[in-house]
Amino acid sequence: MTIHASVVPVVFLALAAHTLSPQAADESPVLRKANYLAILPGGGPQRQVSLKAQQVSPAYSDALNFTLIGPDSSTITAGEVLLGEERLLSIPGKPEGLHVLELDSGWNACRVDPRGIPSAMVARETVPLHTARGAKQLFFYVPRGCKQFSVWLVADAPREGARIEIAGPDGGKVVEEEGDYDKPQRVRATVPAGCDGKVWSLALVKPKAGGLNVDDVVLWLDPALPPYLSMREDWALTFGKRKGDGVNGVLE
Amino acid sequence: MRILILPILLLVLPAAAIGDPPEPVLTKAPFTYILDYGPDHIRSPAYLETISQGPPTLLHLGKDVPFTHNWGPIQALGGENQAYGRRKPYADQDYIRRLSPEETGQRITDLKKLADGLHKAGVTWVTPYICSMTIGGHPERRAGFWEFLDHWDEYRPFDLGSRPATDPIQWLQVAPDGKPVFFYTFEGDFYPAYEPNIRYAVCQNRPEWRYWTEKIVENIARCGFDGVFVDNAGSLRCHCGVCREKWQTWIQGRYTADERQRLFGSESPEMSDGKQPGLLWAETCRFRCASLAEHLKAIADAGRRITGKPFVVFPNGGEKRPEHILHIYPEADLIMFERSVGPHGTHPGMVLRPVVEDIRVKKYNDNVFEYKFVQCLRRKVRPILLTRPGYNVPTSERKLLEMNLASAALGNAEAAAFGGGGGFLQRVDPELMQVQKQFRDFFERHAALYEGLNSHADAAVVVLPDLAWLDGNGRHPLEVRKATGNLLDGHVLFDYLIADQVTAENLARYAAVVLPRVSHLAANQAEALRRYVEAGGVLVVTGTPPEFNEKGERPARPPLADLIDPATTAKPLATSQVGKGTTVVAAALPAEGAKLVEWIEGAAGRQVSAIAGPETPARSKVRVNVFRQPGKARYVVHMVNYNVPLGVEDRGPEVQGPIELSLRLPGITSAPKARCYDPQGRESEISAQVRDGKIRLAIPELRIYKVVEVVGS
Ligand SMILES: [Zn+2]
Repeated sequence: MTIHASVVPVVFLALAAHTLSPQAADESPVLRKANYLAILPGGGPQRQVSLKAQQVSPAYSDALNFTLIGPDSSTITAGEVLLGEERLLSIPGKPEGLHVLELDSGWNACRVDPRGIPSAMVARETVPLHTARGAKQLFFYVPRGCKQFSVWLVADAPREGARIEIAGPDGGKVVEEEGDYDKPQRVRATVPAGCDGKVWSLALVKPKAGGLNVDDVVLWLDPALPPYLSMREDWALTFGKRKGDGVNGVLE
Repeated sequence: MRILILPILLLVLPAAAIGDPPEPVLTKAPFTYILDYGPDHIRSPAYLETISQGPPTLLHLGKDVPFTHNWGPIQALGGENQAYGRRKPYADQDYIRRLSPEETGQRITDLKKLADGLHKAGVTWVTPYICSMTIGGHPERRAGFWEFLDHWDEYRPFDLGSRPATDPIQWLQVAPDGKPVFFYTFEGDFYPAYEPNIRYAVCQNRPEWRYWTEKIVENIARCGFDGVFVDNAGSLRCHCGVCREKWQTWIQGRYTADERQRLFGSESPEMSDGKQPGLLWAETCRFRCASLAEHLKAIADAGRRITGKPFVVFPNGGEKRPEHILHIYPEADLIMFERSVGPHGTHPGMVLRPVVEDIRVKKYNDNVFEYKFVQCLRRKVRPILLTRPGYNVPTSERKLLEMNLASAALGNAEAAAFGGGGGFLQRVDPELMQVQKQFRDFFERHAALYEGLNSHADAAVVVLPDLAWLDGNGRHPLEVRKATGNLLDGHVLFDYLIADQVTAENLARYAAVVLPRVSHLAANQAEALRRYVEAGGVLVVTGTPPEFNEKGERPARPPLADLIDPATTAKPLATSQVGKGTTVVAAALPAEGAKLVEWIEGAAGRQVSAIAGPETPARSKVRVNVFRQPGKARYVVHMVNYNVPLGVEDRGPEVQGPIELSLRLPGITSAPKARCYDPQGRESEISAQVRDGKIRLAIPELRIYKVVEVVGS
């Protein structure tokens, strides 16, 4: 018997499988499971975000499934990115207003690069951020009048934990704390005078105490803060002030 | 005291029951179902009145029985294994206080009245609760089941016969080291729900336990009940002497001495402990499944001996266990899927989950795999779904995931459309019961739309449940789920095929066959697939193609070597022409979307979607299923709209339509007669045409469920 084989061309950029590529400037941390990127297309011409699907282990075959949801909750587009590939996803300029990009990488991982489109990862109790391998620097807005807030963490895998470093508007560290975070735990921060109404940042790194690694961490901001973590400082300000400023303007 | 000595040698299990597959069993009418474990059903005119307002076909009660399986005759009624497992001072009431023989007689009188009253209220089958393997008590303190055994002879009026000769502590399931197996582990001296007693798991192969099971069932049947729900019906992990002896008979009936030596390294292999997947583990599990099937048959026979008519046996244990459905339950009447947990609960429908600000994301739940897998076995068993908003879900989350009137209708519609005679669980809620009543009335008035049919499909997905034991890596069932989602979203009519059904004759019925991450494939099935492709079929293989045969041996050439060029397997997607047909080899299936349908249509060169016209995300959640009356040009088309929001805020369905169906219905060559039904709407004639060899039907709008009967002239 003869077999005539024809390989269907792959249209996306191929990345090396089994490796997690270095983080680009505006790129998100490594994401696992379901995450939501809030996007403000801004009403201009169509632009693109980059999605990269990364295999965590040969045992997992989940591709990255994405769904772009419009301001009225309708699905604008949906699709998948195969493991080891990058896909440029077009974001229509219209309708204007807040969009959400659902990124579900299952047991594998992904990264998103908004390529200049103002955006932020959603991080609230019911829709937390699922990161892997730590996070370099994520910016968030502390509203005017806010005196205290909390960041919640869970790292429930054995021998995994995290060190969280929360920095104030001047970049100085306000809170440094580490632990195994096997159960949801809050990390409290007190806002020094004059540091409200400004953008702060946080990072997740390997704990200094021996034996614990930083990998899968679930993180959310408490309701004192707008539920957004941005890869850029200016975006954090944009998202933080969407519902007005001040603690009374805080989202649900 | 009379002591019953039971022979240890039981029936020889049908070890060689591999021969010809049984005659396919056709579909039955769906039914409605309520589960109610309440403790206050006897002597309650109010309860009978409540049920009579919307009686289900099947009512499943708790331990409303004369003799409970785990304690003997006790004060408490209702509940399952856990509920009412204590007495004072550990509980507020003496729930497990042993009833005297006089009280037991009164209990039977009350239960007879209950069964009779429920039947008069309109329930067809009433089935109380027993468990396949649980006893409670304390052997040293002679508490619980032991206390009852010590008083066995006082209950002679209930036809219990002679007291078992051995102590129940000898009936327990044991591990290879002889220690008792506990399925529900506990710390400390007692099982918390049974304080201060212990919950033990008994071996279903022990003749004493089977004897006791028969006695409790006989007494249940005497009350006028129609059958029993059997919990934990798949729970057997025993290495006791009885099991080991029966196992040797089993394995010797399946393999010659030479084969046993070659495959297992011994002519008398011991049962596997399950630490390694492979053939020995598969055979161990098959043996246990056969033992459990025998136990269920003993229950059915015991009930029938008393009632003189079929006694409904309704085991629990389908959820995530297709291998058990195939090997334990095919001859049971019903199988329960206890689907308690899912990322969005498990009630069928659409979840509108708030993400941020006013944006919500839509997620969909369905139970199509469960219903369809059981239907496609074409055996006696029929599926039942238990769904929930989840366990221990916060109130805010629960509000999003709760069943409402529309989603209750969807649940009944889904059972009807995909189950081939299935049922969907509802609880006693007056409003929901009225929805259920509409569906029951419809099912009974239009039974001909459902009975005596076989599924009609354009594609098939090969499902090999035994891979759970042979490779144990869980990839195949996950991929089957993905294939299911792709085909449903693409509106492709499909069947599942188990190993016995992968024959050249069966395969020829389908335009495409999907082999989802199959690691082991028998030579005769590989040969059937080769003939199918050569004759023009489309075979989609995902993941690494099979490397082993059904015995776990690696043949000199991989099973599908004639169909798959090894060079293509390194690519994400490759198609090959083989004879008149095509193989498509894909690294993986996407979890969502309908990519699989694109591959099939590309290879087949024609559309296989049952819905014509432009697709939208909401439209993709309209699911279609078709049955055919064997030998006749008569088809029944089911359409189910899953755009039904869940949650206490009852938003009503997102109505879809107009929808144009485009169906390949062999035997119909000119415009057929088509009549459209809706359990919650009107009947109407609809026009149908034949175009390009397909039947075209326009459905103006679909709220939740429509059934269209199409008859060729
Ligand atoms: Zn045993």
